[in-house]
Amino acid sequence: MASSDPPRDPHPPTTDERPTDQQILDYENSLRAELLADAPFVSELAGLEELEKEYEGGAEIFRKKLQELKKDYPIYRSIRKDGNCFYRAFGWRLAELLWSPSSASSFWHDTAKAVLISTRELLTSSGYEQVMIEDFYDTFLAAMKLREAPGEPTGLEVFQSEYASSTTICHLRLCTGAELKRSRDLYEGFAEMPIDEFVIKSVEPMALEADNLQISALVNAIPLVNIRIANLDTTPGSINFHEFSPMDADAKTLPVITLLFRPGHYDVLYGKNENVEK
Amino acid sequence: MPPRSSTSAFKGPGKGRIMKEIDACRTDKEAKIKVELVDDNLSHLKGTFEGPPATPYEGGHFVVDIQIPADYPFKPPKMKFDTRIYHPNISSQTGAICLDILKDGVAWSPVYTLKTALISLQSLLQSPEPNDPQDAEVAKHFIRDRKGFEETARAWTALHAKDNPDALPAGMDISVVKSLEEMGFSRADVVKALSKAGNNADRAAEILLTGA
Repeated sequence: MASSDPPRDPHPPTTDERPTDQQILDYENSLRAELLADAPFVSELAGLEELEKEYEGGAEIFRKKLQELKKDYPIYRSIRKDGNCFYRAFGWRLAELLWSPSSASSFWHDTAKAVLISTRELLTSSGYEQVMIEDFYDTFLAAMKLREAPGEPTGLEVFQSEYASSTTICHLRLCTGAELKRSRDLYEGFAEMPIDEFVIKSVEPMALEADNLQISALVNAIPLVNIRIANLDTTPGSINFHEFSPMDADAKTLPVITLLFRPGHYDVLYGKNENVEK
Repeated sequence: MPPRSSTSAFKGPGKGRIMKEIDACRTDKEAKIKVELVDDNLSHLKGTFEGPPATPYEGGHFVVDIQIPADYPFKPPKMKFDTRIYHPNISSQTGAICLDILKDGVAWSPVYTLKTALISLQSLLQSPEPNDPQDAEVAKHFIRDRKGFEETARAWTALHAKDNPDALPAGMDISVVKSLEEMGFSRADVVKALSKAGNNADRAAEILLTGA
């Protein structure tokens, strides 16, 4: 130790002057929370004109693509931009289809109930502890079955409440993780790391956005819908769609849910003739 | 499963989740990890675990303060050491912990539990990460003088984390410790200085006085 060093407090306060990682994170989270404070998790229906307004001063290509999109999908519902939007949009649309009176006595509805009930088994067989997942599972199932019990809160009220919303997203994340682990040979080539690590790092934590791999896995974990994603980007030409269908189901017989993708974010789109939850 | 009205399912896990977690720790005797309520308040708990073998924390009994946020398990529990501990990733002053899964970022996930978090803390004691420190001074000590660091850490374990509060590290003379304490330094600082100084009282006094 150099003797020219001035006497020091044995515990210099330097570490206290700088913000800690946690303080920085808290600050970022508080900023994000402020930005999000007014945005519902799932919004009321809106016409696509609302979306067009966002692009009024923007690139021509967006306005052209939105106009084209509006012909087939005149209505949308915005989803909170918090990194959970894909799972939230999926859960919401699935619930809406289940609640729809027109599906009530259909074969699809019966299959859907059985598939959703079996997600508990899907999770426990991939190593999730039942005692830790059952809160998520119970709330998820209750949200999907809402319409069977009169006098319950509306679907929108449920999906706009923090706990029910987070729980549903969490359950869908775990279904995605379980499917990735169950059919790991199928997915491993697309993950840049071993599947178990991918699930821990890129699926299970809340607020991490879903990419193609998670979307493919969720469609196979809950093989009840096709997902059609309209891609609003700057590629020249018409708006392009990405389709995801379950592998082991007759995709043609399944309903389609349509999402609008803008980099980092998904919202829900409704076709002209679709039944929608008001 | 008992039938449950869907409305109640939307309100939150209530006491369920935390009680389940406490039970899970109770039934797992092997892990030697305990989670207990402080009082009737389900958002304040204490966790305890043993220092991992073959580390300077061996034989120590560590207590961790646990605060459960309202949106747990979607947000991580807040944890800090009650037991003073000498470790690069734990503040030697406040017990604050630098561990990725405890930060409100993207490493925590709702399938983690208090038990998995405490096991991660136990692993942190086993594998310090001096390049991502919480306590810069301790991390510096760890990097520059691993052996000296380990001696101090062992001394702190003996001093703060063992049942016998008077227990001193081997070779340390209680009369020397007391004479240095009389100069106005805390037991922890005296032990730290003496381990650094190879139990030489004069050298230890110099370290204490210069803060070297």
